[in-house]
Amino acid sequence: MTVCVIGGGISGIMAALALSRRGTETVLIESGETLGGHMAEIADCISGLEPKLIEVEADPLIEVITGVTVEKIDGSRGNFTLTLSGGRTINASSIILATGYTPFDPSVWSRYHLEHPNVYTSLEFERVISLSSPTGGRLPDGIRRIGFIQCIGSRDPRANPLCSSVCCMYTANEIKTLKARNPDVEVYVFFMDIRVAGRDERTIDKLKREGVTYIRSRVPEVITDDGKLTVRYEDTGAGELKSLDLDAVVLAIGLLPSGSTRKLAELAGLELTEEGYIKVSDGVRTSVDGIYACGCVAAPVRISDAVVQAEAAASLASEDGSPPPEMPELIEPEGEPAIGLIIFTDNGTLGSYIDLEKVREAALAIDGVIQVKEVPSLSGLEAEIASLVKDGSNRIVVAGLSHRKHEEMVRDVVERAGLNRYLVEIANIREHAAWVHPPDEATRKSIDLIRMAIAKVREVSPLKVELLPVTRRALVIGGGVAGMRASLEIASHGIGVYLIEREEKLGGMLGESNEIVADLIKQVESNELIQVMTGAEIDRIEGYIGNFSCTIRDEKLEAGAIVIATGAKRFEPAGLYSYGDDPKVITQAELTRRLETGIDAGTVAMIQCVGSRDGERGCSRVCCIEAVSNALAIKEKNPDTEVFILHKDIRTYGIYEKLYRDARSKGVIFLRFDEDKPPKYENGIVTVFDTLLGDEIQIRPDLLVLSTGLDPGPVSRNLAKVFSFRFRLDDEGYVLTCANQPEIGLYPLDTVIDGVYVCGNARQPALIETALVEAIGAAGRVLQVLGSERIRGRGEVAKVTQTACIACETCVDLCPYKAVRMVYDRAEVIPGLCRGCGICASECPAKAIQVGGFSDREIIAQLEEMLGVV
Amino acid sequence: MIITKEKPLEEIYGYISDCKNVLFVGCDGCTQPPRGLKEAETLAKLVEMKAKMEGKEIRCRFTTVVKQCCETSVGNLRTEMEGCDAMVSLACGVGVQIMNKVYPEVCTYPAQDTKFIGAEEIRQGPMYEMCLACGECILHETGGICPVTRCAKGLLNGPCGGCVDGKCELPMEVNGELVKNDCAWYLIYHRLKELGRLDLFRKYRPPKKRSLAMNPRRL
Amino acid sequence: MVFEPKIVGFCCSSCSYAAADLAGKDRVGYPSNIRIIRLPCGGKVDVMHILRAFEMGADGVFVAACKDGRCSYLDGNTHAKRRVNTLKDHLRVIGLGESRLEIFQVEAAGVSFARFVEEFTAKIKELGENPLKGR
Repeated sequence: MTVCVIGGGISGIMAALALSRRGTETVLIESGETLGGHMAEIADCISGLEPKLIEVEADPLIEVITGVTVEKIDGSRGNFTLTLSGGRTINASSIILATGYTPFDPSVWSRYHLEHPNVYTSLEFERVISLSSPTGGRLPDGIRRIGFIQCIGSRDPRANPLCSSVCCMYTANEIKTLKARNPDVEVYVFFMDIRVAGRDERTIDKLKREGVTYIRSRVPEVITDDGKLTVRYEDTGAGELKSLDLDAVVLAIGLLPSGSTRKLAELAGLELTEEGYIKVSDGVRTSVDGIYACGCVAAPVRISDAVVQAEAAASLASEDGSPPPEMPELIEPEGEPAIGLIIFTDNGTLGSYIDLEKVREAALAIDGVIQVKEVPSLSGLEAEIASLVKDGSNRIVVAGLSHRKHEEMVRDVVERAGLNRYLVEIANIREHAAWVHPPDEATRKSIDLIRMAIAKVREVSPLKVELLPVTRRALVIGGGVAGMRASLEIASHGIGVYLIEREEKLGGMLGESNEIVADLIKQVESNELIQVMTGAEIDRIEGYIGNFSCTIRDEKLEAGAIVIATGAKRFEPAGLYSYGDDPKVITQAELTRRLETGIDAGTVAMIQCVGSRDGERGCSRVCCIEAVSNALAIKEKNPDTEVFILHKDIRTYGIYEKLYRDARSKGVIFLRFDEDKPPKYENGIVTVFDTLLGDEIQIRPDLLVLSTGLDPGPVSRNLAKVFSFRFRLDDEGYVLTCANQPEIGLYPLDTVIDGVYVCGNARQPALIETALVEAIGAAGRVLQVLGSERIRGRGEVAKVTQTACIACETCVDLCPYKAVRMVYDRAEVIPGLCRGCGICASECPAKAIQVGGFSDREIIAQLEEMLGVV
Repeated sequence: MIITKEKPLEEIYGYISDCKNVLFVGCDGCTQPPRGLKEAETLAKLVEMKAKMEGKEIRCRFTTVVKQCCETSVGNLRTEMEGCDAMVSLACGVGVQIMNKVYPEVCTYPAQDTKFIGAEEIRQGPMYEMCLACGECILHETGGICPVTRCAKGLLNGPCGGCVDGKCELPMEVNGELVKNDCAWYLIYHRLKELGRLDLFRKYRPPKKRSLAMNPRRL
Repeated sequence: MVFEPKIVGFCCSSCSYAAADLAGKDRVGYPSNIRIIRLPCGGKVDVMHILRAFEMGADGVFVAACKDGRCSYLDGNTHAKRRVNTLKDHLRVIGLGESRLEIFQVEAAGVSFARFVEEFTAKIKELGENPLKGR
């Protein structure tokens, strides 16, 4: 049965791909003409997005329908019927909504003067500073001072009362890019609170050090006078109104629910929040069973959070029953290389850049080329390649495509045509020649590139794709909320789970008194597929995707994939603010527990960022929201209790802004202190320098609550030691994911090792809700691996000629993944771990290592062809 | 292991610039990094190219042996070295000498400066001298840290008065920079303390028998 | 006749190849003297391959790898950097000159790729033909 994904932005694309990897047929519906959504508008994101667009288009299990809208939704879980504009109907077992957001349009307010040529929205500004803009990212002449105004259409009851979550960071990224390309420009940022977390915090600190001026003030309007731009703002430090002349203004626009979301909610009868977002539980479940939401439809989120939700939604919607991947035999091509060349003409447009006739003639003259065919579109590729192979070609070269985008697709096609998938090479005569050089030069270069590709493909030998057997069982490390939720999700698809917990009891940081935790423990313990091991210390984990083994004391557990959910510890505030000596001083976590029975205090003071944002540790993300909710809970029980929250910034992202608003209206008092003037606590009195008043305030609290941050270090550093392969942590001790790499940044739950995933506080500080979504997402990634009995390895991996190995262990030391081991005094590559980077091959003192697809012979052949020494 | 450092390319080229046919011989043995086939090939290519640049032609071939300090192993090169008028050895000083001994008819030149017996902390990181091969090991008394090698003064009953904050008073030049080494005896003291064997620190060690380190030694 | 140098570019599959692709997509032109040889990672670049390229008559060689901290294989780019820098010294000794070889740590943007290729080509044109050509 099919799953229908509505919305072709990055969330929808990633959801569809996740479904397809589980063997679920998917229909992806987009109302626009092309896929990509708003991510395609962000210059820095294009290179990450493009390969995904190709992947989704080429996926045989995904049908993409663009330019249509959904007009009707009937039925219920397992049997929905969607009627599209144009009349087509689709039957779907589940529906995933990924209809994204609408950027706020500030032109509805004349006071920001969007009509002025130098007033930009942040999305417009992306284009201005993009290297692909007409000026190559240089600002128009005369712009020397530029002001960024935050929260335009966010945290504003007249437009959108919520925080849009992403603007603080995208502004910082824009400034970084802007400064790189225009180093002399002066930059001012007008903000209310800076809401970023983790590593992002450092980006902002760095910008401040580099001279970007952050001014804490809401700018109500932009004044244009004779075309000049001025903003007025309140200097809270000096307590006076100031004005600043600017040459350009960038409005950081917020994210609003999109119109189609509302329409779809009506069609399907989904509950909405008062702000117009889809109401969800578990992060992705809507009020209608069988309909899930991901990305910005439930709340404004960052791309990385959106794709986590996409993975989670896809996992919940998956119809398991994936056929095991078929493995073709390794067929050695017979006889001399006979090369079939395909020229992809890009619907005939390539001919206007280069002389195709000349290219064709030159290609036919090359030794070994038996046929040359032109193909106008990607859809024709399959048939042409099949006919080339049928007519005797045993190697294929495709000219006019890009390795980066099309290599996997072309290999799949070649494989379906009956050749080894590595007997094909691409000559990128479009991006690397036709589009960048004048016609005659481009023609000449194209011929060269084709010659080089042919030279390479002549040397290519078929590579064996290892079929790695998969142990269809998962290992989940950490029995907190995230670990338990992940285990349950995996088990719900019939896969067994080992759930390992170090402590004697399940529950993790929150403890079993928490309602959600208690419920999860009950479910986990009654689930027959989950084998819980408490008090278990892992000694060693080795192996590779599909085949991990984990040693605990004398027991050896086999698993095909691993979820790391080891969480974090609370920072211990021992010695700070008399904690431990003064019974009146407690932590926020202790307060949460005490609130269950009720507290007796006339005045409560809370100090934020104890052990966070202190230079060593970053923002822990969750403490502000905890503090504000606890403050609300206190006020609810007894409105007369005075509650003070002493903070640096209040970071109630996204929908949690509602809590902040409520707290203020209920009389919770927020006092902001400067980083270099933290509050003091002496003789029962808290003294704080309030930046708004510009004066010291003294409070005598009955309870002083310390909002302590998270510290993942001790747990994860310990864990890192048990892995036989490379396992990386960032400098705070969170598990490093692939998020910093453009191509794989779209898999934020993946660690640097295939088959090992991470969720919850071990990855980054997370609220319970977020941790649950991440857990389901990570479980989804696991199930994508464990869906079949066998998994395909990579073909382009390093291979050691063992007779040549001199056992110097250089490769063992250098491998970034610890994928080489010594067996009987000879190096051996573990195929499931090797990613084929080739660092070992080019360093091996004995020249004993070659990387498939990039062997010395292949590279030298290309050089010889290019430099004309054949 | 034996630590060697490549000689400057100019210098190696200088030895053989008048030759016509040179064999570059790597050694897979105990040097770190191993100066095996890959390095021999690279060096051969560099020399060949430099010759070409000067309008000369030197035929440069390359090979490697398992260990150049072994006469049998070096003996296997007989056919390969036919016709060459010089050889360049990438091995330590021992290898160069054995090559010259086994093939007295051509001269074998060194491509490496043999530095010391030592180790590296991290791969491709700095190398540290660890052993002087004095022939009379006392590591069992000094917590596994060799004062003969690692004390600048080779004191057997240290530390001297020149130990400041655990560093030696004698700075050493490393890559043009003055670096202060750890005081070996400071390290020994702390290590022995850790081991609970400070009694060893009190023990007097008489001077070494110089005869054991008289060159050349043999066993 | 105008000297048209032949330049080999060893490009990693991540940022560098993407940068070249994006230059095409954005139609940012650059001199057509370069031919890209794709490697999985900057860390795959082999000293011997560079030397062979010069021996066969390449007038310039550049290695393009990701920026520090962005290598898909964690630290392949630092290996590339180290090898190129050592080899530059050797090239100077040989007499080919160190400027014929360059390491380029690229961001995935077409313009920066095009700019680098432009500058490098201009530099090689100034240096003239590879003196090893034909020898």
